[in-house]
Amino acid sequence: MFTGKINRNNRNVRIMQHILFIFLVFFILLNTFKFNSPPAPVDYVYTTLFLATVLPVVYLHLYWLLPKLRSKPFLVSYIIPLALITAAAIWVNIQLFDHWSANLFPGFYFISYFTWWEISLFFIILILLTTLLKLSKSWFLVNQLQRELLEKEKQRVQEELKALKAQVNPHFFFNTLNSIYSMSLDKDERLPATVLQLSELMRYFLYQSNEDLVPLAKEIEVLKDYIALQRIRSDEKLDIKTVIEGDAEQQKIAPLLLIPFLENSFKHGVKGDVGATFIDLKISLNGNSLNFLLENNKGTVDVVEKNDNKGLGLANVKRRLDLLYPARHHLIIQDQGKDFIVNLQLQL
Amino acid sequence: MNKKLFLAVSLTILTFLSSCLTSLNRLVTHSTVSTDNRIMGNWQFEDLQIKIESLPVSSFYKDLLASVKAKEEVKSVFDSKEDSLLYSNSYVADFVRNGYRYYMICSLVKLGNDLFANIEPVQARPVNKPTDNDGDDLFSTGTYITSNSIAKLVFKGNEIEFRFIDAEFVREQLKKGNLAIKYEKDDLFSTDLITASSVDLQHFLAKYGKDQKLYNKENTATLKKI
Repeated sequence: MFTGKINRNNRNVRIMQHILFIFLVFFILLNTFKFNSPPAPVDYVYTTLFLATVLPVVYLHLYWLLPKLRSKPFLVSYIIPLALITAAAIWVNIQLFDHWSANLFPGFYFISYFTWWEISLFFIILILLTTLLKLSKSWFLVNQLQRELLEKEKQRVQEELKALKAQVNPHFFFNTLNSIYSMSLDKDERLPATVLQLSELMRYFLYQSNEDLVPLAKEIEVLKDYIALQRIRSDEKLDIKTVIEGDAEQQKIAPLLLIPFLENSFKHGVKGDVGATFIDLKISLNGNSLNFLLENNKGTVDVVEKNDNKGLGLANVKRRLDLLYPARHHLIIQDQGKDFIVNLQLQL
Repeated sequence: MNKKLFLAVSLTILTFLSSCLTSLNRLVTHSTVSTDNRIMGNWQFEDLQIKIESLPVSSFYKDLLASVKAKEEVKSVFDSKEDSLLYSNSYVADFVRNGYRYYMICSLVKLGNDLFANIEPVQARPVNKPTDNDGDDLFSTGTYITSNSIAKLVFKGNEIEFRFIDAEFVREQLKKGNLAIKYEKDDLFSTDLITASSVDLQHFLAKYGKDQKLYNKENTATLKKI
């Protein structure tokens, strides 16, 4: 019922637009044809008759011929019918003004003041003008639809990104809190610094990561804080190397894009390993090109995250990369038996 | 301008009928001119005796050529291909009225099945004072602009009807806004001069030439053959 009402309203608007257009053309023609100012009754009759011969051609062209424009063969389906109906209408125009109108309007005296060529020009101009109007209207409609589709797609992507960000597993927070609890019982002197780091991380995870882009330096800082916290939890038996090359101050990156890789390396490396563990992290910046290289050895017992979230982190980050950096990223994940290598190249 | 037009109009009316339409442009052009020799001869209209001859063999043209002053002017007119074609197929009518001999060029055009005449006054000289002096020609005095009268010709036995277009009717239609034709209005003397082109005039008469409302008895001159 509601759709029906909208359709009726659209139809009424279209009818109004057509009526307005016809009145506008009538006004222009009237002022072109008139002999005196203000226009005399005969000028109204003259203009009405002239318009009556032009409008059928214009509307036949708009609603019958123009949709056939793309049909093949073009000459037979469009050009010849257009030429024929235009020629017929011009003939009617000339006959009407030279002969028929004397009987149709016995009280008025006028003749056609234009040659067949000048009449043809009127027809051609009106056909061209209305075609342009229709095409531009169609173009606007297509453009509007495209904008609406883009907007909807953008909204959908934003929703998806929001959901993806929300999926970043808060598991490590709980583990860290457990470690902090142990440290507090042991009266560990690293406790205040650890709480502060956790606080910074939480601030970043909860507030700053809501932005579309964050400073790359901040994201790297978070990576470092994350490593530091993991060190505390892992009793410092880790061999972690971190190399940062290039100026990260001027660049921005989507938040929480790199952490899932690091989190993944800790899940499958450190926690599962029973012997010596290494994590090599190298971030190189060349202009706006970021090269993220992360290597770690895999644990012998992959015990962590035995739940539904297993593998979600990488899938999550891959999807976010597709949405945020389409055709601007190159991700290689290599599982080499003992070692696990992630290489992400990103155009920021 | 208005006074010039007035002169043109008044002189035309003076020479023939009281209320016939005047046009700045001729109805007939060199490409549409036609001939009908039934028009030639001596005719009687009320108290006037009118003589109509083919222009190239007329006494008017011979007198004109004899006039030294007019020679160059005539030569220039007839040297023009268009005018030469028009005038060589035209007629000249002359009559005497109030001591003046009037000359009018009459050109014919066939529009549909009807024959129309364009009448153009060219000279009005005192009958008893044949001279080359331009000052004696009524049409040469002042700032005279040639205007044309248009009539439909109807042959009836030994009569010709010159049905002039009724200026009053045209004026009324123009005033009502029922007629679309180019014209100039002279408010000072309440006259209208049609300024439509020859082509437009022909189109108009081809369409409305049969409409009896354009003519009336007062503006019809019936010439009887003598």
